[in-house]
Amino acid sequence: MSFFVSIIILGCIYSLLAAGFVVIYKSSRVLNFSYTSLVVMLSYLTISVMKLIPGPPVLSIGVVLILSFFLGLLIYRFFIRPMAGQSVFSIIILTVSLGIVFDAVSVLVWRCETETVSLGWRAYYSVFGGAKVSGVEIIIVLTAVVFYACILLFYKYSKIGWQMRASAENVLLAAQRGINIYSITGLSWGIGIFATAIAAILLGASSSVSPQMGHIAIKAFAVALVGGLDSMAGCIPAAFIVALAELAANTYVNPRLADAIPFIIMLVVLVVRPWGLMGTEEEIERV
Amino acid sequence: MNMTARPAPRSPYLKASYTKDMVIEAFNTPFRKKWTFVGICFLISVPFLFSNYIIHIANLIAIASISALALNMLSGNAGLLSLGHAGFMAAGAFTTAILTVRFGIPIWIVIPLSAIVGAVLGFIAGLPSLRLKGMYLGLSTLALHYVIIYALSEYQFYGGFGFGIPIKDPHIGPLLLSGERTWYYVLCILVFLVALFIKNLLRSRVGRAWIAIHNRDIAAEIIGVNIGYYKILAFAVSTSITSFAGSIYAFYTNVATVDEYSFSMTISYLAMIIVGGLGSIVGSLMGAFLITALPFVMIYLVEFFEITGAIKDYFFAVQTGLFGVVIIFFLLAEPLGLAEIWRRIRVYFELWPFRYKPLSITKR
Repeated sequence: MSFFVSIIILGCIYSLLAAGFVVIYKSSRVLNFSYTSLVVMLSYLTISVMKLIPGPPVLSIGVVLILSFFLGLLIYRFFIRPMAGQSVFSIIILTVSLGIVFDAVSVLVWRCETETVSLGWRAYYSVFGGAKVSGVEIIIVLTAVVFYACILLFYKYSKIGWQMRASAENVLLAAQRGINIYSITGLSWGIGIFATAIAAILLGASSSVSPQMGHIAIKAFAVALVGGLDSMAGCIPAAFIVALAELAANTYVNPRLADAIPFIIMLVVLVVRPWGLMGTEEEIERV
Repeated sequence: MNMTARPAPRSPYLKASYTKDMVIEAFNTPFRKKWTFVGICFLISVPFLFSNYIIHIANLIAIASISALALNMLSGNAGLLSLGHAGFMAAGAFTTAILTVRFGIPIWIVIPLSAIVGAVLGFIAGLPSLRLKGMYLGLSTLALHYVIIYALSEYQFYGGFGFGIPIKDPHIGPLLLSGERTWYYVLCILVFLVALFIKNLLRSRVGRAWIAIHNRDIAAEIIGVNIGYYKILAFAVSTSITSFAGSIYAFYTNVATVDEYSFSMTISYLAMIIVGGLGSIVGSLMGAFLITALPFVMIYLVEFFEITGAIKDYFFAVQTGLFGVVIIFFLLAEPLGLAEIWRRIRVYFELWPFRYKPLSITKR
């Protein structure tokens, strides 16, 4: 039973991690390889802000989320937009190198000591006959549900969500219809980094904040790809598939295989069904 | 009036025939021949001029050059993104370690076998490239990197090699390959051979096919290039050279350990080819030189100016962060890299008293 519960919790963490990734890919067709470093940096930032602002953690979390939104806008404006028209290769390398700059920042500013984000809810509860669940894990599941409900409804019903979907589907046509694609793409970078910050805070609260977080966060690539890089809804089943495979490998084989199995799944998906579970099939240019 | 028809003036930068395209530029004029000769003399005299430490750095640069040449051929010329470079190097290094330590096979057989293992892995990595492009290909090679590293760490763990597999200095006939100075000459020859091999590939049918695929794959298919074959060939050739470099690296450092071949190694190789210039052989060499030498220069500077505090304590972070800044700078300001700057300087002096603009390379 506790195995089940841990699948659900890990699945929720993965789906949140993958969300930030997919939002950005969907609108700007950029795979954000700086993702893992961002997770580490943003969770260190959370700890600093929490020390700086006394009072309930909700306040400082709000500040971090707003900061990360603007960080997303800045990254888009100063690094991604000037690269428009360059090859995919260059843009990937750009995000990779942004990532190593973020890594260096988190080492130089925060010294990469192991710390924990405390959300101020330390209790443990027994659910479903014996499985233990901590307060943080309940927050994780709730956040995942609320976040996905919000973002899916946002994409479906709000005007900006429509514009985002339109520019994701066909940038030229969207621009022709008067959508300001620069601000829409910038906004999705903001939302993407915002989602990254949510995942970073929760990951930091559930385990610990250290550069090792990157090893967990990098599995978001696998989750996003299995679900389909341009599909928000696809992340949810994909996250649970990856979580199940990983925990099974951890329980029955060894932890080293558990680290590698998301990538094995990813390779299989790339060869068999590159557009993922729910992605658009025309997405991939074929030769 | 007898006006002999003069041919229309042509730019020396337009290559109108295959014979012109196939000229190796380093040797084609007396001026260049002279300077190439001077350069070779300098390279030969390096061990007599500098300390062991400098020669050790030069050897690392040479190994990095071999590997960067392979990556640049794959990513710069054939346009296939690989994020699994460190994984392929690790495969070469571990094949070497396992064959040498466990089976005692001589270096003559070990190195080709490592290259073959690399080629097989490259074939596997190339298979998704038949269906995928760009980002997706990057992801699949990244996944392959983690799978390779997983397999090797299993071996290292169960073999009981906590800190890596130690390898003895290899013998080539009566010659014992040990010490920086012996290695220096061997590595110089190897870099030259690999560069020549890649240059020959690039200036023949295979290279032209790769460039055609890079520029417009559909057009390449229409003019009769077998895309699947050439893509897989690019992967297999590049990864076998990469594995070869990994094998040499394992012999040179006398150890093969998984921890060394992390993703950050891939990043530093990508930095080399971007800073040097995508698709350029001189670029790979310059990039390998700059990126490999940069940390050593920084160590020297830190000691020279007696810098203490955070910069010294977290030196590794400063160094990788600087890599990032350098790559971003080059991508935003000079996407064609050092090779393009070098070309511009050369052209400026060639045309010196005149000011007409030569044909510029279009940005990709």
